[in-house]
Amino acid sequence: MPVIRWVQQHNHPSGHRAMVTTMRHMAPCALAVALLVALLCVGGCQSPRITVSDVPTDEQVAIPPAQSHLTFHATPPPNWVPKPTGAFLLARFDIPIQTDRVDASVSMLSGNGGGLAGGLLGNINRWRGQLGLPALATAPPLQTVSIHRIVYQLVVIRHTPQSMAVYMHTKGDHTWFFKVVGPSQHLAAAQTAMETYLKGGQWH
Amino acid sequence: MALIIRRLVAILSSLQLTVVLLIAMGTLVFVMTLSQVETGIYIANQRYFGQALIKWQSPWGDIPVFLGGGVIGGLLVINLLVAHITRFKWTRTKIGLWLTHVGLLVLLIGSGWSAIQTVESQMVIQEGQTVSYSEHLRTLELAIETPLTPTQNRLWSIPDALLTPGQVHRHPQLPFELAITHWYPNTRLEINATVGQGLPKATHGLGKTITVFPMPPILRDDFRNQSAVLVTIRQGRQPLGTWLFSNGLGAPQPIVVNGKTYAIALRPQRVYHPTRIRLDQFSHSYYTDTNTPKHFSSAVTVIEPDGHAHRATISMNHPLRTGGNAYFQASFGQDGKSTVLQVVSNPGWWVPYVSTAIMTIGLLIHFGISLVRYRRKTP
Repeated sequence: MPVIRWVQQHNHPSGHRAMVTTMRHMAPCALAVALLVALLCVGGCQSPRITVSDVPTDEQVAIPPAQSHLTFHATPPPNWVPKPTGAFLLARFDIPIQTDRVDASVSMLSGNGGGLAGGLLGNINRWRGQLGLPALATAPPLQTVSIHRIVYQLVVIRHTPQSMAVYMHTKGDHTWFFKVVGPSQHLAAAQTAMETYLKGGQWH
Repeated sequence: MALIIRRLVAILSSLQLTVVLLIAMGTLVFVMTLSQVETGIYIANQRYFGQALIKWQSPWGDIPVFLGGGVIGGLLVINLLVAHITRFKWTRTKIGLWLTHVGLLVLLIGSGWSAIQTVESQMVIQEGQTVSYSEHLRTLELAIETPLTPTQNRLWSIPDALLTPGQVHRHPQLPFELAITHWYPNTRLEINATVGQGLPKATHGLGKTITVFPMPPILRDDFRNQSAVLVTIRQGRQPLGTWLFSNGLGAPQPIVVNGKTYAIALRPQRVYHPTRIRLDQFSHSYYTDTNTPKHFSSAVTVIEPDGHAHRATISMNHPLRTGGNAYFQASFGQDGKSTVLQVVSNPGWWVPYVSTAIMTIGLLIHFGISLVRYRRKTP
């Protein structure tokens, strides 16, 4: 039993010497271990906390990388009527076709795939929901359209009385959506108008 | 007690322990190398070297299965130290061995310290812009900013580690407190979603029309999760509303309290530097008929804190070292007009050089002494 041995050593002159020798050995070891732990703790044991600092305003510094480096510029046809934009809409118009109007919008969202764009199926089901259609279990195969060497994925959702076509272009972590929504009988004309708009646009 | 201590010292100083620890370290590095194929280097490094114990996520909870790399490295240091103190004798002829082991200790301890102290972040600069901060690749902050002067803001930064539900954050200089109600490491945000009506929502700001769908975090080096936090802001006991903040939303959301505007955003954690960098021109070239970059470089102007400015060029394998940081050319924007610099602050950069020098000197002395002894013995 260690305790009995310790008592025996402690009470016996030779045991006492062994104890002292052990402690002499142990003291530098303990010191070395303590120093090592202290050294690593100086750098590693800082718990997270709220910090306060005075920093330059963002006007002086960089655009955060969350924003896209790629921009799309296009001049809308004169008959397109601009409408107010929202938090995620870059541009919004009314396209007059015959006596009706088709809603056209341009939006750019970050987070391709699992991000804000919601993934392909998430987006398709959201758009189907807007037209009053039930959600799909799997994403349908999409056709692609090449306009001025830029490839767009095209989603066409037909329903009555409204239908929709969305041209999607993904670059890096950002996806651009060019959407037309309006009376079903004008969808083809609206698509043509949107493709003309895209042809006249430039990506920078 | 003395016996226990002696046995402990005997184990800690034993060569068997050294061998076991070296095998364990080798196994760990091998497993980590396999693991990083799926998770990327950062996550694999955190999982195998950033924790004291490696845990297996079982249906019954986390079960520790192996020692973490830091612990094995620490035990190796202790093993070497204790062996020296208890077994090695200080004699003139062993000075070479002593020096070699001192060098090894400097390398092991210094590498551990350096790993803790090193900060890596990225700086994105558009041509013509001057930038004074870089952003962490992995950690986020809930940043609250209010203007002090036209060119300066006061920033309160709450690290994402503190954004756990139930926590309430106050600061004496802030006229409101922030109660964290929900934290999502990765999300899918949907505007005007037709499903998910029962999910928690913001009552104010951009998030009013957004539904947050929690997603499992994606552990890849090349993927930034879209995190989100729902925060109830209170002034005294009066709740002002619940806001949604996400690094996917981009722009900060303004909140007016006591006539003062506070812009709040969840964004990558920033590191502000006293030295500012302006990108004068970015140039790059590709190998013919491929998309593989051949050469890319950034012509920059470095503006020191005292206003003194000088020009420099940062290119692949030619970093800029200034203000205690090294700026490496890491990547560039797809428009070809912006650069991405890897900013590395590593106060322990000298450790490998110094430790290798000590070990080299130690080995030279040791072999020199052995050679002289051999020559003396040989007739």
